[in-house]
Amino acid sequence: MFDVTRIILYVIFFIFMYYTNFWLITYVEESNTKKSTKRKEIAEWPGISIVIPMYNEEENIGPTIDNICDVDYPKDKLKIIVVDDGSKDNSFKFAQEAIERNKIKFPDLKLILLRQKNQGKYAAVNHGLKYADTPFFATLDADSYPEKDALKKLISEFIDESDDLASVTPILKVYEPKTLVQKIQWLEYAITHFYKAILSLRNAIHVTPGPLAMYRTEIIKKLGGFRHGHKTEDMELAIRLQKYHYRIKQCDNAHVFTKVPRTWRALLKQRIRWYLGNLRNVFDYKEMLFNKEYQDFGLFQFVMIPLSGILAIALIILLPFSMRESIKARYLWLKAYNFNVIEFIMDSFKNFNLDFWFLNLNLTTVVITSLSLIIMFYALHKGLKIFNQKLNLKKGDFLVLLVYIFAYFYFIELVWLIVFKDFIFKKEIVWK
Amino acid sequence: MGREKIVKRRYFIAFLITLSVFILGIFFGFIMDNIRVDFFSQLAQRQELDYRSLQLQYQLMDSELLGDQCQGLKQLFDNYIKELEYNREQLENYIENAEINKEEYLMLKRRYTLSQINFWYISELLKTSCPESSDYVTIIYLYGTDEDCPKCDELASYLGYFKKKLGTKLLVFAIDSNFKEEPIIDVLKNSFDVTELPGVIIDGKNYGFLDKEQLKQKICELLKYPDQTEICNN
Repeated sequence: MFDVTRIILYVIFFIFMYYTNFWLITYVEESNTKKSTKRKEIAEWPGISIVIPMYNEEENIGPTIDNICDVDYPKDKLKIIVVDDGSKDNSFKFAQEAIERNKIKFPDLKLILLRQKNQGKYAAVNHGLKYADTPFFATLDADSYPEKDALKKLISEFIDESDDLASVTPILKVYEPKTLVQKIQWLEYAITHFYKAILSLRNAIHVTPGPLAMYRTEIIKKLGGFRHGHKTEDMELAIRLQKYHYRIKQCDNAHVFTKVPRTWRALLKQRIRWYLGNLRNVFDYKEMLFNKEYQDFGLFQFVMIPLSGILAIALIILLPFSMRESIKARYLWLKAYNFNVIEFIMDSFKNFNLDFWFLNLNLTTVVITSLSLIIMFYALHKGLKIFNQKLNLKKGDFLVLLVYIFAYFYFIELVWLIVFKDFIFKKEIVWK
Repeated sequence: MGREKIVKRRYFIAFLITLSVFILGIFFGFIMDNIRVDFFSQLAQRQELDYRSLQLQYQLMDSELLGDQCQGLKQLFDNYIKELEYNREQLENYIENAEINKEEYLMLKRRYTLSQINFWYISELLKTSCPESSDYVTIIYLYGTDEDCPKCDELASYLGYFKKKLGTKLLVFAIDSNFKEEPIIDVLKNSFDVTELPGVIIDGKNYGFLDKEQLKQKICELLKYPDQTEICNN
């Protein structure tokens, strides 16, 4: 008979698949009608203020300022505001030096350097926002580098749009991925941006990321600027924009390179901060959950944030539980072989029987798994298209792909496990 | 422009597609289950015929109508028995996971249990009639569930290990002691005085649980030519 564990597992897969199918149908039906057109001809580019908050970024701040000053945008329309959030290293000094050299290089450019006591990223952005007197403003993390034409592309998305379009977000690409962890994030970002491209079609984006999210200054000021948002101020603001029925759009061809964690440990720390912040923000805005007023966002996307966490926890508990018998059997077999894995595998192969291999297949699981893989590859293909990049399977990307498909999931499960523990025990989140 | 209106149809279509995928998965599972039952029925049928053929040959030889056929008989016996234990293991797995066709699986299990006992019987007869060509050890292994036999899984892995190493020199006849559908199991338990599980009957005597070393010792002790095996030489 069906056992309870298996039924719960099927229900979880059903929910995930339903969610995926919903967004894929949305993509198929709406992507052609709403595809952003090519760059619009703009006679006069509007003014943009770019706020760069920094905290202990001495390694990055110089190149970041150099890079943003060099973007393809009329210099007299740009205002760069660097806010030092009480750094303990030489960030302020390096920022000062970078500003000085760029003032000489680009005399029309307005460059401001501010300093404050350490109050957190949101406070630093709000400090900078006070100096933003342009129709648009963007935040830029101190370790991110936009492509030359990113600003023009982002601004183009606001043209011919109604005033309720509050924010346009760019595509984030991993800056020089070297380690396995960084390459996995590169893949993950590709898939995430395809997913966000679909969310964008239905105004269901729930985060306006730090690296170069563009905003209408007036709207953000009207809403009171950034909030602490449990150290995920970019998510809090996006939810608040959704709450007041403003729109957020993703610009699929504006690219920004951002530095990502190099090690599993650093990635774990980052993800715990993100997911815990997400969860707490959802809790703060719980009135939007299942709320028809917020359409697909309230009924679907917003619900999926905590739900995906709950389902991930259920999976991490149930999967080993459902496999306990086979795990135990394998352990005992290995024990019989005095843990000589090679001998065990060789003997197993000697007894390999194709008929039984075929008969052993659980077709229900095979169908569901195959479909999940097809969808994942499709998303990856689309994501890479947005990235304008290709997988190089010969250059080791194959290993990255394997780890991403078969192992990364367990890492995310671990993150959720810690996040729920911290959520329940109300642990504080640290920014850096 | 404002917020996009909900497209209710999309929620419904997504649900239908997801449901279809799951129904398809369950449908395939059902088909597979039927394929498994057919497959095992055929195997069981073949084993029953194999046994009858062996039995007849043995009777003819025993009645001296045929001359000494020990070598040929042993070879045939080895061929037939080779997959018997492996097939039983697979069948046990399927019964455990079977969602449908449980009844048919149980019928198959009964046939397999009888086949095991039949082959064990023939193997014992061969030992007496053809002692020279019968250098093997027979073990009847009576197992139970995790509750009534917590050490069964461990013992099964040791038996499996020695089976893989010794091939036809070790014949393991594993029988589910809780399988109430087949009354002969209780007869075996009473005959060999199996009051606790696991029951390990070697050479007509029940030893109960044996660890890997004890099992190896026992097997090597009973083989006529233990030196010919790698296991007993180490």
